[in-house]
Amino acid sequence: MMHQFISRRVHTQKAFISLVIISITLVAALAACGGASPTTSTSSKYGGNIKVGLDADVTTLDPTLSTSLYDRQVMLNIYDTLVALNAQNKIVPDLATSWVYNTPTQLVFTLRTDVKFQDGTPFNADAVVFNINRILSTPTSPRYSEISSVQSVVATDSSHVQFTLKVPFSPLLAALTDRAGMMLSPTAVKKLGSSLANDPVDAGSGPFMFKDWVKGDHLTVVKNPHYWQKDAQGNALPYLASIRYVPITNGSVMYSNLETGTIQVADDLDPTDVPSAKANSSLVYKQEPGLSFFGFMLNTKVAPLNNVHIRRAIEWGVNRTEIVNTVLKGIGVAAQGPISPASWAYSSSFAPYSYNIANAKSELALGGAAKGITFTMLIASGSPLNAEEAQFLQSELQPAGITVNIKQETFTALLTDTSAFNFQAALIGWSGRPDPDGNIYSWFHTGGGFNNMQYSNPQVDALLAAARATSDQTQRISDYQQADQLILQDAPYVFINYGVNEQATTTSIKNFTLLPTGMMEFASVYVSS
Amino acid sequence: MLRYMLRRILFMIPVALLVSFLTFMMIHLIPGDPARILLGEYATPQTVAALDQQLGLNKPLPIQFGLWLWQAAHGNLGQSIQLDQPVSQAILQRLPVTAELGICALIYSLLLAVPLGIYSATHRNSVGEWLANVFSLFSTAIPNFVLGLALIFFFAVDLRVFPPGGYVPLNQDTLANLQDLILPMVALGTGAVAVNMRQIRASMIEALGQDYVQTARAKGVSERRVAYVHALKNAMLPVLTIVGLQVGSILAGAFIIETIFLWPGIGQLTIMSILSKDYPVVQGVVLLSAFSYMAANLLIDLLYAAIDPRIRFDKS
Repeated sequence: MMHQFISRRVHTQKAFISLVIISITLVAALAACGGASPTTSTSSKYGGNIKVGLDADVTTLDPTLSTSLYDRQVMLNIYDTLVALNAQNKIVPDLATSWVYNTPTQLVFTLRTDVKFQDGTPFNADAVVFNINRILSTPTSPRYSEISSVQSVVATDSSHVQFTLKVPFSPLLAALTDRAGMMLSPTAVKKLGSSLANDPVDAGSGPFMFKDWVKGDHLTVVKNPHYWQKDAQGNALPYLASIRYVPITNGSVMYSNLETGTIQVADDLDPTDVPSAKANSSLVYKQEPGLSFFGFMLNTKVAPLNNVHIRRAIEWGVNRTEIVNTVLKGIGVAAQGPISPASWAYSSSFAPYSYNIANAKSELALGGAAKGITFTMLIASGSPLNAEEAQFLQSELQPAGITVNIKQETFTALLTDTSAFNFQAALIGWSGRPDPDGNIYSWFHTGGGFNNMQYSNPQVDALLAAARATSDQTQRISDYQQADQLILQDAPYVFINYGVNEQATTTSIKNFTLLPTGMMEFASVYVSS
Repeated sequence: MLRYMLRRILFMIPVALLVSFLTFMMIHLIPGDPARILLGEYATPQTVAALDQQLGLNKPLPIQFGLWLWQAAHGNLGQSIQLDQPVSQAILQRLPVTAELGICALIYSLLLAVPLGIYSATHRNSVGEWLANVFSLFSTAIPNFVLGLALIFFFAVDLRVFPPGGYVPLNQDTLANLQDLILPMVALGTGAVAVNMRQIRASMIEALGQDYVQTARAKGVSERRVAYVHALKNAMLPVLTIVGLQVGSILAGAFIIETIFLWPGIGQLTIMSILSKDYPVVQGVVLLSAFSYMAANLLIDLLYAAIDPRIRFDKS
C-alpha cells in the first residue's frame, strides 16, 4: 500500500457538502412525516385499535394443543370458557350461568341460551359435550391430565350438561376456567381440521374474532359484533375494534415501544425498566401478587440433601428479602410455601424461616455436617436474572459453610435432568394455577408429575388427597395449610418468592383489570385520549 | 468466461455440503429436544417420544442428515417443526424483508463511504479527514446492536421522529416502510461504512499516485475529473471484494437488527428457529446464506472483468 502524503483541495468538498445537505433534507422530510403514532381516541368508548406486546410469539390457537401462556393470552379473548376467574380469584359464571354438585361425583352445569358462535351456530349442551370429549379422546393433549377425573359428559337437555367424575375432584372447576373449559364451535372445528391451530376463523364465541397471524410478526383479532356480554349499562361489548399482538422478545425494546406508544399494552416488563415505568406520567404501572412461585428443588434422595437437617440449614441460609429487593428490584413477594397470597388458601401465619446463619450452622451440625457441605445447583442458561439470583444464593449460603456450585444448562436440558432425578438442586419455578391443588399436588404428593425432588410424606399425601375429594372450601383451606406446614418443615423445595402480575399500559388504556392469573382480558377495555 | 463460471458454480456444491454438515452437527450438539419444546415444559416422556418419532428425530443423526440432504437435493428443504409450513415457503415469505434491509444498508454504507473515502484521500491531514477518521473508528468500534438500541432511545423514545420498531410492507405504505427502514438500515450499515471508507481511501491514494493520473493531470484534466473518473474506477476493484465479503456480515448483522427492530425477516426467523430448535428451518437458512454469499462473491469476481479489461478469467 502506498503512503504518499499529498494534500489537494479539490471540488470534492462541494460534492461532500451537497451529499450531506441532501441526506439531512431526506432524513428531516421522513422525520416530519413520521412522528409518534398517537393512539386513536374518540369521545366514545367504541372503536380503537390497540397493539399489545407479548414476550414471545403465540405457538398455537388450538386449546387442546397449547402449552404456552402466550397462546392463552390470545385465546382467552377469542374463546369463552364455561366458568371464569374474576380479579379476586373467585370462580364466576361465563358460558355456564350456574353449577351444582348433585353428588360428589356428579356436577351439573346450567348453560346460557343466548350465545352463538362466531360462525352463527348456537352454543348449547351438545357443544360442551363435543369440546370435553375432544380432550378426553386425545390423551396426548396437555389438557387431558387436567380433566382426566371426568368419566363422561352428557347433555341432559340443550341447556344442561352433566359431568360424571371417576372420583370426587374439586379442582375441576378451576381447570374449566382455563383452556380445558374453552368452548369452540363444533361445526368450525370439524370444518377447519388441523388448520384450527393456525387459522381459527369464527371458531369461538368470545369478544374478538381471529383475523390474521403472520408468525413472528403479528396476530390480529377484531371485534365480534354479535358478542353476547354487555357492560353494566347494558351496552354491547367489546369496545375495541381490534387488537394486534406483537411478539417482542427483548425487554428494552418492549419498554421503548411502550414508552413511545407504539404498543399500548406490554404483558411484562424487565425489573430494570419498572422504576422508569412508574415515574413515567404517560404510563400506568401496577402490580399485584400472582399465583406463581419461584425457588429451587432439593433432591431428597441424593446426599447430602437427603438429610432433612441439611435442607433446613439451606432454608435458614437464604435471604429472601435481599433477593426480592436487589435481584428482582421489588418485583416479587418473599415466599414460604407453594400457595401464594393471591390464593384463597393462603396463610401468612406460618413462615418459619428467616435469614439466620447461626440457625443454619446448628442445623448443619444436627445433620452431621458441622464442617459444611457442597452441592451443585442447575440453572437455566440465557437468563441474566437466573444467574444473578444463583450468585446471590451462593454468597448468602457461604457464611453458613454451604458451598453452592452453579451449573448452567439450557432450559430443556434442565427439565430433562430434573425429570430424570439427575440433579442435586435446581433453580426452577412454577407459573401457578388458580386452584391451590394445581400448585401443590403434582409438586409434593408422592410420585407427583413435577415432584422431581422425590419428596414423600404420607401425611402430606393424605391431606392433599382429602382436599381434592371435598368441595367444602373451609375444609380444603385447613387441609392445604396443614400440608403447607409439613412441606416447609421437610424442606424439599426452597421457596424464594411469589411472582407478581403487572399492568404496564399507556394511560389511554382504560378499564383494564389485573387478574391473578396474569391474563389480559380486553372485552371491557377501551381507549381514551 | 463460461468455463470459469461453471467451475465456480460446481465449486459451490462441496462448500454448501460442508456448511450444511457443520450446521447440522452444531445444532444437534445443543442440548434439548424440539419435541419437548413443542409440547411444553411438563410433557410426559411418552408424548415426547411419540412426537420425536413423528418428526423423525429418533433416527440416528447420520440418517437424519442423509434424509435431509436427499430431500434438499430434490429441492425440498423439509417442513418446519414450529411453523407448520414448508421451510422454503417460510424463507421465501421473509426473504423480501431481509433483502430490503440488507440491500439498503449496503447502499447506505456505500453512499457514505465513497464520498468520505475520496474526501479523505484527497484532503489528507485536513480537519475533514480527521473527522472522517473519528467517524470511521466510532462506527467500527460500536457493535450494531448497541448502535440499534442507542438509535431507538435517541430518535424514537426521546425525539419521537422515527418508530422504535415494526415493519410495514413497501407495497402497503411506502412512506411508513421508509420510516421503519431508516433506523435499522443505519444500525446495520454503519459498521460497513468504516470498512468501505478505509478501503476506498487506501485504494484512492494508491490510484492517485499512478502514472496515468499524473498524465491526466499533465494534460490539464480537472482534479475532480481525475479523482472521480480516472482514479475511482481503478480504486473500486478492491472495494468490490470488500463489498462481496460484506454480504456475509450484513446478513449476520440482520439477525440481530431484525430482532431489535421487530422486522419479520430471515434473521428473526432464524433466531426464533434456533431457540425452538426448529432444525429444518435453521438448515434451510444456512444453506441459503451460504449460496447467497458464494453467489455474491462470484458476481463480484465477474464484475472485475467488466471494470478492469486486463482481467480475463479463461486465460488464467
